[in-house]
Amino acid sequence: MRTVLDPTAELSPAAQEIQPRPTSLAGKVVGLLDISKPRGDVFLDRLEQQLVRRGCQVRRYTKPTFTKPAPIDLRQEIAVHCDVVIEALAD
Amino acid sequence: MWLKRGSRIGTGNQECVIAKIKPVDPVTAARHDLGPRASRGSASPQRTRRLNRRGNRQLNHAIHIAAVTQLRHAHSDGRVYFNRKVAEGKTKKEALRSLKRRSLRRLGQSVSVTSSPTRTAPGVWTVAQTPKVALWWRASALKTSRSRSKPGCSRVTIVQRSHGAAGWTAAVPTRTARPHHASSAQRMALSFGSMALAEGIKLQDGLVAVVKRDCPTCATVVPVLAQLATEGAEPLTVYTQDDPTFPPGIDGVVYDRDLTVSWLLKVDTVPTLVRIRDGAETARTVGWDRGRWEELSGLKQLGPGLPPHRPGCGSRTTEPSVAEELDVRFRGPNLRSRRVVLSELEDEMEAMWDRGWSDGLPVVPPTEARVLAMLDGTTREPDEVVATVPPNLVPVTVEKVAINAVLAGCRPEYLPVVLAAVDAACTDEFNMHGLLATTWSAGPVVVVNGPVTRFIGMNSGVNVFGPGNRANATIGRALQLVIRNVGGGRPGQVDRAVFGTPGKYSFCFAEDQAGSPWEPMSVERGLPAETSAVTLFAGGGVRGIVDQQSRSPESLARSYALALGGVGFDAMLVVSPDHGRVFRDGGWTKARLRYELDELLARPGPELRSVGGIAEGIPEHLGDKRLPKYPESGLLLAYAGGRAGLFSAVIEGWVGGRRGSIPVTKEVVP
Repeated sequence: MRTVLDPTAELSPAAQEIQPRPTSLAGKVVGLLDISKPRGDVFLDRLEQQLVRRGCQVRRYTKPTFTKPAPIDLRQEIAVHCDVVIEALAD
Repeated sequence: MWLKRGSRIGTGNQECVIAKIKPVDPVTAARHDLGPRASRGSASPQRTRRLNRRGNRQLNHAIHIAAVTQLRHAHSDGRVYFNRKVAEGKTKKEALRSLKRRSLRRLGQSVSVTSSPTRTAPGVWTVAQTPKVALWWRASALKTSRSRSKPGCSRVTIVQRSHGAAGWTAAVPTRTARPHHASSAQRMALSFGSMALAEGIKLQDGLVAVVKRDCPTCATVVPVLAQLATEGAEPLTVYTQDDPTFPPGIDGVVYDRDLTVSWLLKVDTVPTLVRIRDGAETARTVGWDRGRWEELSGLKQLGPGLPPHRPGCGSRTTEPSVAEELDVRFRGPNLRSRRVVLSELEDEMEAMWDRGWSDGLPVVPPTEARVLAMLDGTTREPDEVVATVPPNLVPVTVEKVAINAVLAGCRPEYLPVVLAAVDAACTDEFNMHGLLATTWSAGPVVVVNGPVTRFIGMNSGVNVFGPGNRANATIGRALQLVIRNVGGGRPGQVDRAVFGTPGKYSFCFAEDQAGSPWEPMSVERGLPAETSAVTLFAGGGVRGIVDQQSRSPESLARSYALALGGVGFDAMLVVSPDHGRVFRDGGWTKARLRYELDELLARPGPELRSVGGIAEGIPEHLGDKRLPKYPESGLLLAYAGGRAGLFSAVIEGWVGGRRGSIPVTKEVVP
């Protein structure tokens, strides 16, 4: 019998349930998260115009840098204030 | 917590069970009946059992082995019990289960839960056979003892062997005595006495000799042993390793069949003569040396016809396969990682690949013996947490790093360097998460400085970034495997690189400090000279700089600036010996080269924005002023490479500074 030691973290990832997809964006608060890549703002400005025209309330957020995960406070703020979030990757 | 003698759960399996219950906290054990249980399945209560995963799997395994071992012996009371159950109409499987429950009941009765510090009892099993500090560290310690007064040389912490009454003692020469070293030494000091207690072996006060028949010196000293047994003031116990009838004609010979006593006494040569007082060793001698034997025994005229001294032979505990087996038996239970049992039909190399543990190249199967040997490369405890590994932010222990170092093909003496590299990679400044997730090609580049590079034989010369050196090839790979296996960072998953780079298998090299005209990278980055260190840089491809004409530093610096100007991000400039000579002859320091490069690379804004019909460039808001190329010290300078060839190299970096990755330097500690 050959036995080896497990080199992994021996963790099973915690499954998180995704919220149900909203049927309509009307009246929802939509967060727009700019990850700080070049021209992400161009893309999000255009999205904001479209969303406002459809009756959404829009809140804008920006990650300090695209190279690192969003700070936990920022994620919490978005979760508290928004119904939906759109994260923009651009170049 | 330990078993009382005579708990009758198996022939020779007590120690196995003790080993398995070692990690069980006594309070939990008392509350949960020691863990392992079988619960009844609901569908057909007579025949099925469902595994209760709340039990202690390791203990369950130990109980199983104990039961199966009893069955092998036709007249053992376990076998009799089993036969009776079968006669009562149970199936063999049910009878075996009954036997296991019976073993467990007896175990429960025989376990004492002590209120003494738990560390003492588990400490029994945390003994290190020897604090096998890696060779390079021993050498480094020697160096220190020669030049202790030199500043910067006193940073080593040595744990050394001593046969004083306390067993192991730690010699901690200097200011860097870290708490876990002290505790480790204390545990080692405690462990001998405790181990003897748990094994039920109390060494008798007096003289203890360890011998084997297959040793001419042992055969030579038989008359001396007889003299000690009959004339000595103190009792003599002889442990024989290979033959219970040897030495003939002496009372008090104990057959150390499984070498437990030899291992506990850390005997590496036979004959070994040890003096025991109050259960602890006070003196020992190895081989035959009349003077020493007379000193230890207090007798005169020992072995009158014998030569004055004769070297001994290797103890059976040092035979390679035996040493490995003993190591696994006594220290294996300290390892906390899950055991993965490979089927007989699996090819073990394929098995590693099938489980997703490989970067694509073959890996070395991390057996307990190999991992234990790897852990001997450091004085750090296996359960010490080294860092929190991205992307899954998993705390990684020394043990897990060691397992991955085995996979990568490291030798034990490389482990301290791997540990330092993991530590550096997992800092917030280095930002391993971003470096892994980026679509850019880069990965961690490990530059090693200091005495450790010589002791482990790293390459800083010919083909320095290429293959051919085991330390260079495996240290960088071990780091990558830790990120892959522990952190969960896998290509195609969190690793989203468009191209990646061959350096992501392993990119690790040593700086050529001996040949360098400049101070080493680690010193430039703030560590004392002669301190071993790793510096991590987020780097990708290597591009060569060809300049075979420049004979002045001014000219060569311009060549460098031209090459560096074309690199989008931070960079590491690696200067070769042929080019280094130009700077040495010209009297340029590293700081001077930096200054000149900064001057040459600074450009006015408009030159960096949409030039030559190319849309790429710096943003408008940076204006027209002259901009530095490396505003946040994003240029590293190293010296390495073969001694012929008027080339240097640029290792392309990644997003620098706080927005991306900042190089990190960490000291390599033993």
